[in-house]
Amino acid sequence: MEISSDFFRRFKNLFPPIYKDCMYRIVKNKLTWVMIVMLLLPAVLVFYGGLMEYGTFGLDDKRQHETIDGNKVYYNEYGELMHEYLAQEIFYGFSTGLGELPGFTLGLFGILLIIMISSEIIGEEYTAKTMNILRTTPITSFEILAYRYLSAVIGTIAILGAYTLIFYIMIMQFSGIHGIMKELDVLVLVLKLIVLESIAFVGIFCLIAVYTKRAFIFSFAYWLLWEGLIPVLAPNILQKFTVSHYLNSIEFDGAKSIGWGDVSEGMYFLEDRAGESIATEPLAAIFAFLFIASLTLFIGSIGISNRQF
Amino acid sequence: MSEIILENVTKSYGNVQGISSINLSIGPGITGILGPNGAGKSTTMKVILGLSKPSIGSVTVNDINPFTDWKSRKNIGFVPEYDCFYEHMTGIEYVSYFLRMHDYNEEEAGKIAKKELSELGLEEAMYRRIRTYSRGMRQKTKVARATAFNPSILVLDEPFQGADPSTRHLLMEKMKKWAEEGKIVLISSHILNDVENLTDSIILINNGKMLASGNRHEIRKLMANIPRKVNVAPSDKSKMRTIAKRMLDEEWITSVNIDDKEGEIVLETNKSEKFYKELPKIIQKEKIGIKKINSDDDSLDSLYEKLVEGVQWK
Repeated sequence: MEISSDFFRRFKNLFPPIYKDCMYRIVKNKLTWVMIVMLLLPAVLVFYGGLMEYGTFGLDDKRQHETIDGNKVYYNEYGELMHEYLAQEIFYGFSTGLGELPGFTLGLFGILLIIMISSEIIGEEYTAKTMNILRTTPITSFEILAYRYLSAVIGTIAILGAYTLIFYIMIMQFSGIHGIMKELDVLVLVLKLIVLESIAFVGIFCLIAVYTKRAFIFSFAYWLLWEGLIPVLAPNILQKFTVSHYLNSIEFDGAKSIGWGDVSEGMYFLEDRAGESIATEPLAAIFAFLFIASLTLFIGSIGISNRQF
Repeated sequence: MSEIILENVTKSYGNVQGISSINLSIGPGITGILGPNGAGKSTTMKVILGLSKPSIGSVTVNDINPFTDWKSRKNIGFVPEYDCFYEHMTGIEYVSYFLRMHDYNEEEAGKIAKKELSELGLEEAMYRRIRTYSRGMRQKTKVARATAFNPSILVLDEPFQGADPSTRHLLMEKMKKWAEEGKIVLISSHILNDVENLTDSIILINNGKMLASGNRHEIRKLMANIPRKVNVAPSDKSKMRTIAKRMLDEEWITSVNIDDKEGEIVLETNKSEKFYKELPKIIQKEKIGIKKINSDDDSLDSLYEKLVEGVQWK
């Protein structure tokens, strides 16, 4: 594998043009916008549903509320605190899959977006044959991959993060300013999951793009068959070889920290058949994400330097 | 001094052999690699550039293995045959982008890119997106990218392909200038006239094998025993038959044809050296005025054709 000893000195000069190019390609790609629409569409529908249910913005406001310490605290039709219900069941559940609504926004379209960006950023270099030229310039294979990886991570975090923020405000505004501020830890948890899943999955999907021509298909198949099924079908040590396991561990720990009463390891596929917890400690999980990213960059740059044209 | 050395280089792609047992030493100046499509020209260039690893043998560029040592790429500029663009970039952005890979900062890269593209006649086009460029402009942009960082070695794969006459002329002038500056300029082409006008130093490749390398005239000498045709046009057309009869007496003439329409005799010899030595003597002795002696075979084209046809030389 090729690594430059002055990687960090060169970073300042090499990263900006590569980042700019990658961002341009992400923004100009029609599929990016399709994914953004697919993400926003359910958010808009949920928002519309909320409007019909509760009314707001001076429309027929059906919410019950009381004023505590000068703050308006809203309640839903069952008398539950509106912000807790919206944050846990709607925002968190819809984003991650654990809640009242089937979660597919980040779980499906978020992953599709990450696959699309990673495949495009690496695959396009081969398709346009610019990789051949890059391989004749004094830039190491590690630099070629690492800067694109970083750009893709920043791109996915920016898009998914912005979406999450918009979604959070759209949903939580039904619980008023007090509710929005009260549930920020749920927002932080979802943002943390986005950052960590981007770090790991961008690395894996970039690696797949280095070694295969049909990166999108292979990446999706990997995600569906390995990341999707292993945690469900194999409640054992095999889980530790999936990114999902570490994401689930972070989610579980986050939900516990927030103080949601009904969380259990079983909900997050973190119990073995004997009912014992197989969750990974959050700090260890974060190291696992960083390790996965480093490993994929390492193997990927070997792939680039050994690739023959 | 820059030097490219290939020692017994073989490159196979599965069962297909790209090049076989190539031995070369290329120094400063222009060297042309000639051969038909699929001959192995591009593969030879790829192993020199480090884009491909030889299956057998070794390649060194300035004593460095280009496949394993990425630093060797600091001195090599490559103009591929194919398009290799970020189509959404402007010409100046594209050249600057690759200059940044050579450790130039943003400002330096911009300045150099602008100068290089202007020299190649893209003053106005450099601010347009590459996707709007003509073939000639694309070729110039590739050349600007490859030369902007002043490399000591330039590898150009079919540089004249698709180029309009003015671009060809411009590129040829550039190549001559680079050669004068002491750079190694390695070009591959199947447009033989272009190479002939640029250099005498050629490498002939066919079916992955090197047929010949060296000075065009030296190769010609090696080919003394290859049959060749010479057209002789006497000043007086009525003397054509006299010459034909006289030439048939010589054992080094293999055939004689009279072309009444052109007023020429087409002589074929298998001993060209002897032919060129004896012909003037015969003409003088017979007192025949000669308007023209011409051999199409003298062009690089025919030399190349004969070699790739499989004619063996000793």
